[in-house]
Amino acid sequence: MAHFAELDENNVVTRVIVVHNNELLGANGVEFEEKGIDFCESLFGHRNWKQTSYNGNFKKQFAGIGFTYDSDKDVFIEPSPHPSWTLNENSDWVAPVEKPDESGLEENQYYAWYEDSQTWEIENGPEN
Amino acid sequence: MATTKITSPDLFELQTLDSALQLPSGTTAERPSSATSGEWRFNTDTNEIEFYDGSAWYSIAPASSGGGGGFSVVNQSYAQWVLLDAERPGVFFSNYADFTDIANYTDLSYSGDIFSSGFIGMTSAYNGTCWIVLASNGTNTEVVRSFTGVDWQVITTISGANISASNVLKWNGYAWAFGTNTTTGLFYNTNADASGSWTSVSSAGARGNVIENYNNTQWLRNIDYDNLQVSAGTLPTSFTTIYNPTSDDITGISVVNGGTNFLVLYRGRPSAGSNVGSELREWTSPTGSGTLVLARASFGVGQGILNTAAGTLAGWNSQNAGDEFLTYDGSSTTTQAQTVYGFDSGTQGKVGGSYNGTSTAFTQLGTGKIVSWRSGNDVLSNSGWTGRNFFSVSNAYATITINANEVKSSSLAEAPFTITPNSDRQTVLGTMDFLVQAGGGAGCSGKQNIPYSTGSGGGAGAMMTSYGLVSGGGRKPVPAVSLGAGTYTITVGSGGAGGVDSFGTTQANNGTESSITGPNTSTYKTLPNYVTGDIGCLGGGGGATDGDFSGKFGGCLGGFSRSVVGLTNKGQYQPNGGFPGGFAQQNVVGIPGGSGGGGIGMPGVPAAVTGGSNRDKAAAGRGGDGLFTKITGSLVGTGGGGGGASNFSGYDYSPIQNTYAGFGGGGGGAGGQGGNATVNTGGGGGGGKYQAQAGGSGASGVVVLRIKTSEYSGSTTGSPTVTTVGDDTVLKYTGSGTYVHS
Repeated sequence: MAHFAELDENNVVTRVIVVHNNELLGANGVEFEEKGIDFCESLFGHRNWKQTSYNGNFKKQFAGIGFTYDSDKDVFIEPSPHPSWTLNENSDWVAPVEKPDESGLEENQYYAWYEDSQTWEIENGPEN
Repeated sequence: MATTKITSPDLFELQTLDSALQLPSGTTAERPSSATSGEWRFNTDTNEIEFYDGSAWYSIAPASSGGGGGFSVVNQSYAQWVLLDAERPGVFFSNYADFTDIANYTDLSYSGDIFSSGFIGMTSAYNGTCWIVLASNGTNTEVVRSFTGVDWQVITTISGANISASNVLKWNGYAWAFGTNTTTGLFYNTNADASGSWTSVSSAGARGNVIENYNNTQWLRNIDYDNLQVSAGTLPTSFTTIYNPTSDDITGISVVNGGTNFLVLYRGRPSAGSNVGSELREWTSPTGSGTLVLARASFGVGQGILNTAAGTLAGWNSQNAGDEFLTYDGSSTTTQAQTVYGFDSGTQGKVGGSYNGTSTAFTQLGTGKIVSWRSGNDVLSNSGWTGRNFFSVSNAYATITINANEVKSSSLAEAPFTITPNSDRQTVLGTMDFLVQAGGGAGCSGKQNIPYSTGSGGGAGAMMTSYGLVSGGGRKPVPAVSLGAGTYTITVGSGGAGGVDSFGTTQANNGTESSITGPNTSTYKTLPNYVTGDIGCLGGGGGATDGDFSGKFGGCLGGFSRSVVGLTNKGQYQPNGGFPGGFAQQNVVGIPGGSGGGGIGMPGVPAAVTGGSNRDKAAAGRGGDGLFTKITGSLVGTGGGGGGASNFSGYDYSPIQNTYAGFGGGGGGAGGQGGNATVNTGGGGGGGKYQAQAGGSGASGVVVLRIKTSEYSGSTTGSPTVTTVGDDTVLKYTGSGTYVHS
């Protein structure tokens, strides 16, 4: 089965539907994304659809609701975890301050990002 | 006539003669009218020598029973005698003796007590006042027998150390009983028949009173508890125990005469593996007031409570604080009650045991009903019950199954359950039945950098159907669509994306809704599952992991993992679809695994803390059950929640174990990544192991249409699978498409 993500005017994914592979087949038996978009248009009346891979084989990762489609890079980008974070060249979100080396942390400790102070702070995991 | 008195015995020496002395003789009527004490004569009516003791005549006669030899002293008023028999040395009392005052007879043996180096016997007795005093020198063992008329049966063997003046054997009207005193009524026989008579013995140790059984020969524990009748007042106020560690079934226990005392079945386990083969059968309470208590009850494989009688299983409850209410290790049907009343744990009982069977623990196969089912505390909270059905009721139309997970409701009506239709239903002409299953949410990955922070399973997508008897979580079938000319657009939602996000924490994605939009479908927008399409169901919520993420809302909520967020949602039915995911407790001892995602039929199961302080053995929660329909002509299950991950592979809910979880849920991460849910089921993905092992993706949804073949147009897009079932045509859409009705 093929999957297609519906995009709004800001290229944000609003839903991801399943389409039978038969609807993507061209005359030569090869699947085409455009054929799938044609099919989605026949169902929903618009062409704001992009194919996404359930196994993450293309467009970086499987699209989820709230993801954004980057048409330049042809990738789906997940929502930003914090307003100050930016995308790196791999379309992954990174903090404005590099995360400290974690090798010195004790077991059950981790670094958490504090947006207000724009700092990484050591946090303790739940007590056991 | 002159009288010559012989004043010296030597003057009356007759021993050298080989003849006999002729005593005065006559009939009984000819006895001297004014006899003097010490006179003796030969009675020609009885052919016995008799003497006068000053008040009555006594006979000196040869022994008439118990073997030859010896002699007897017969009181003509009481027909009682003592036999000192060379063949059967001992003391005997004859038939119909009325030994109301045993002291009268101690003089009949030498040294003031009844003593025998052999045995003490009584041929029979006719009322409950017969006693034998077991007075001895404290060293000899006495074998006490009762003569049945055919042979001598052992009543009991009493060691010399237990023989004292206060010990007695008592004939209570039906059987012999041995006790330590005569005043407290240690033995109570509730049955008029000698065979199968019962008695209770007080103060038998920690298990309370023990019921012993008289099998017409002797009193024994552990044998033949059949046909016990519990009458009002016959049992002590404290609980009474049937201790049955043998392989004998217990049948025919009943409460009669308004008995209200409860009865404890203690199915003991004196040694491992010795409990196989015992059943409690035919529990009846005609008055409805009797109570059967199963405390610490334990059944073997294939055993349990089997009520084949016409009566009811009434007042089945647990009274003992902290005791295990029921431990069932079996794998087969255990209850066939006509009507089950008051399955009541009280306020103290709990299920502390485990149900390890592979099928239903309690099954009602009759046509009765479950009247009430109440649990005071967390009756079924033990994790050992996870993955199995707890109760099921079947009739010709459906099987209702209550899963052991999260069954804490105060009434059956509120308990989550599944109904599996047993037969197909034909679609009505002019209508279209449907099933809409949304995509499931993804499982959550374990949180990076936090050791042992495991991911919870994703919630299943919501489901709506018009077909069959599907239910669960308050869900009911909705009306079928009235077919109209035009295009029905079918949207099949995808499952939520699993995996690990780029910033090292976790974000499990929701599934996507599925829907049908077309002629006469707009009325379904008023239903709670409405989303975008006319007949729309929300996708499942993604799972969560430690700390800062809660399971997402969706068709069914994703599982929670040790976060206080979402606690108030625990166990609550979500109006958008199915059940919430399980919620692992915070600040508990041990490291719980990820919780299960909610299913459309059942909530997800909270992660257990079976690992204790061992972090590597933290159990995961199982995803909630899905539901089953037969809209396609065969049983189709959808909407299972994803399983949580564990830190130990043995505690993961792998896809195999997920078979028990209903259908469609992805397996939890078996020490690694979470499993993807089964496609086209709307199931939630499994959670991932700690340290950012990826969660599994949710399953895509499915839409099924069923219409009369005579009305089917044959015009579709989206490549549905088209089959026929009877007079109906079934279209199964695993991808989006259309059906154009003309």
